[in-house]
Amino acid sequence: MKSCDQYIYITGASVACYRDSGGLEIVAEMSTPRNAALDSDSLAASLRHFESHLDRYPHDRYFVITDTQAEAYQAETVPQVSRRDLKLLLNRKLEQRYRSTDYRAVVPHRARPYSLIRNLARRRSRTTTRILYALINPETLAPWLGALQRRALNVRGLYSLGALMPALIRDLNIPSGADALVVMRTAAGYRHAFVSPSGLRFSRLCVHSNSADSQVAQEIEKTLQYLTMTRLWGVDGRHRALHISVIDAEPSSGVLNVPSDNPLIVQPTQTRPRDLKPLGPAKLLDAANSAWLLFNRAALRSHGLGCAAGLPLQDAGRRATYRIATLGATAAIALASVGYVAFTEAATRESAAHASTGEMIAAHLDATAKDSERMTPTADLDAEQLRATVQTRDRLLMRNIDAAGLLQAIAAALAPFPDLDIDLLEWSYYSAAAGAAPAPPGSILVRVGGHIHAHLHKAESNAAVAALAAAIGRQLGGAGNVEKLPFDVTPEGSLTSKPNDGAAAQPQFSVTAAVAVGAKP
Amino acid sequence: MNSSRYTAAALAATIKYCVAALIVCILLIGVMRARRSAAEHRDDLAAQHIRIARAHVDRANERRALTEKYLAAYNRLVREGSMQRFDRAAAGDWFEAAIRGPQDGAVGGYVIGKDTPYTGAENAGLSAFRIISHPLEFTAQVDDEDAFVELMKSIETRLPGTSAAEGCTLSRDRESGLRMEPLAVRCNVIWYEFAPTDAALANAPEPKP
Repeated sequence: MKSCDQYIYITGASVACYRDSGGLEIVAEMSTPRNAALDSDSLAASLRHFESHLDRYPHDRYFVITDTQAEAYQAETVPQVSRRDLKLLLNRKLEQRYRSTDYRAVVPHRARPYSLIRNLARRRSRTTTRILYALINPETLAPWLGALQRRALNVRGLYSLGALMPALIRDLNIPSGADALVVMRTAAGYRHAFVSPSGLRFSRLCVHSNSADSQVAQEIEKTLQYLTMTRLWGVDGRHRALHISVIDAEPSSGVLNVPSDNPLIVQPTQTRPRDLKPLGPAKLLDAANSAWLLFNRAALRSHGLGCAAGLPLQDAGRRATYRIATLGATAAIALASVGYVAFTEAATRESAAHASTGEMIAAHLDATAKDSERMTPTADLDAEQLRATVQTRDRLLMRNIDAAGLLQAIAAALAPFPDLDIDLLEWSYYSAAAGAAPAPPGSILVRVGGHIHAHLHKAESNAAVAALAAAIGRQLGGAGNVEKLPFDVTPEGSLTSKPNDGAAAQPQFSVTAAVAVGAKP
Repeated sequence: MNSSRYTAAALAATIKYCVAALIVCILLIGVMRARRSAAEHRDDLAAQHIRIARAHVDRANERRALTEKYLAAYNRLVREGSMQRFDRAAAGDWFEAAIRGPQDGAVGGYVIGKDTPYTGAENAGLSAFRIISHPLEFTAQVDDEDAFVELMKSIETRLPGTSAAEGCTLSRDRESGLRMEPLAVRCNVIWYEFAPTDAALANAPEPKP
């Protein structure tokens, strides 16, 4: 069965169970004897009925709401301390005030606007006021709460209906910052709640009687007297208007009139539950009991566990929270695991498909390589050595020095020098061991030797030989060099001349050129 | 009475089941991780195999291209006899055949020198053969430079094997008193022999029948 919220409404005369399964409806109702000690059989029968009802809904969440006269409200002014210390202080106050009952709580408090500034301006130490309340007749509640506790049902809280009534303020169109006295017709009678801007200050239950119209006004007047007497309202220096609102499915036929000479009292307005919740449950809308208006999570939200805080009654509720957290965490982890598994499975499949394709491509490439090897022509050398052999042979053939090109280049270089006769032409690859003029390794060394005609002057002869060396170098694409001048001009040399000796008058010269392999010619 | 699921025992049982579910999840994740690792490993191996196969294909194609490019030239060398063992007597015959022609009788004498291992840079990368050089030095008398060029052209074109004229000396004797002095020629021609190395022979593939 689907788990739903269930509200157990306990009055002095009955216990009713309202279940919210899509819409609020009453699912069980048991009458309780006015005096349980005298009518124990009737109580036992009602209890059995209640237990059988509980057994039908073991997984529901239960909210217990009491609407009895056995309640006490007490305003406590305490110093402003830290939240934790305030909680400890109020718990201690509760224990001191209400020793006879375990069902006690603090009414939720709303800080009023500018309360901090107002407190700072005070000359006395800063204080705050909290309303303590308790259900002071625990014996009447014990059988019903015991049944819930024995079954380890998920009880989310225990509240007084009066403590929940401030939740109605937002529906009653009461100006913010005003005080309000809300009177609501319930199964137990008329529930009065005095609500200030900081929250509930006081609540009481007036038993319903048949005097009807006059009773409502009289009870309101009594409540106002009490509020004035206890200085909860009507204190000099406070100028908040008091709005009175009566919620009743069967409103008074006449206009309600509260006799008072206080100008701050706004005369009562009557409201039907149907006006507040037009879409409310049809069966409850026009019933006399309007307490169901408070059977919702919004009204309970700020109360926490209410009077059940710290009691064994809430153990099952705590375990329910743990259970939900455990299941939720497990479900989240399981979901994440499933997601991871799905993602990993997809990635695994993709990797496997990729690997299969890769293996296929590799096999194809292997076959291609084998085909290529098979189609390679057979030779008694491997391919690299074939290439090296052929290229080496080509390079060796290129070592052949082209005699025709060399002679042509030298003839072209000699043409401008008709007075120089050539006796020797020599070329070979340069070798350092041969003692020739320095040249780059592997270059071709060309040597041209000859003699000068006798009629040429000595300086002109030397100049012509130097020019010839340059011309040969230029023609061969290398560097020309004078190896021997016809007439020695070095500082350590000497010049010997025999002008009358024809042979001696034709001095010899020698020039060289170093030609890089591959250059001209 | 229906038992509540919010008792301490029920909560303990729930926690046990959740722990069991978590263990199952952890095991499942472990198994899936192992499967995925195996698949990725297989994928990596396949990628590595592809790289090796591609390199194999590249090598095979390169060898094939090289072989197709140079095999004809190499076979031509073999056919020409360039790969034969050098024979000094046969070389003398080749040289004498090469100098016959228009300048017949110009060469006065020649000497084929002793074998020398060649150590130049031209045989870089060649390991299948050792290069051995055989120097031939000849002397000749020619009328002029044109005759000399013609003689050298004849030697270059008609001399078999791998040879190169690598040095010459031309001198004109102006003391002879002749009006047109002949040119004295001394040239070096080198024969290069490709001598197979033992390693190359050992590596040579078996010829197909």
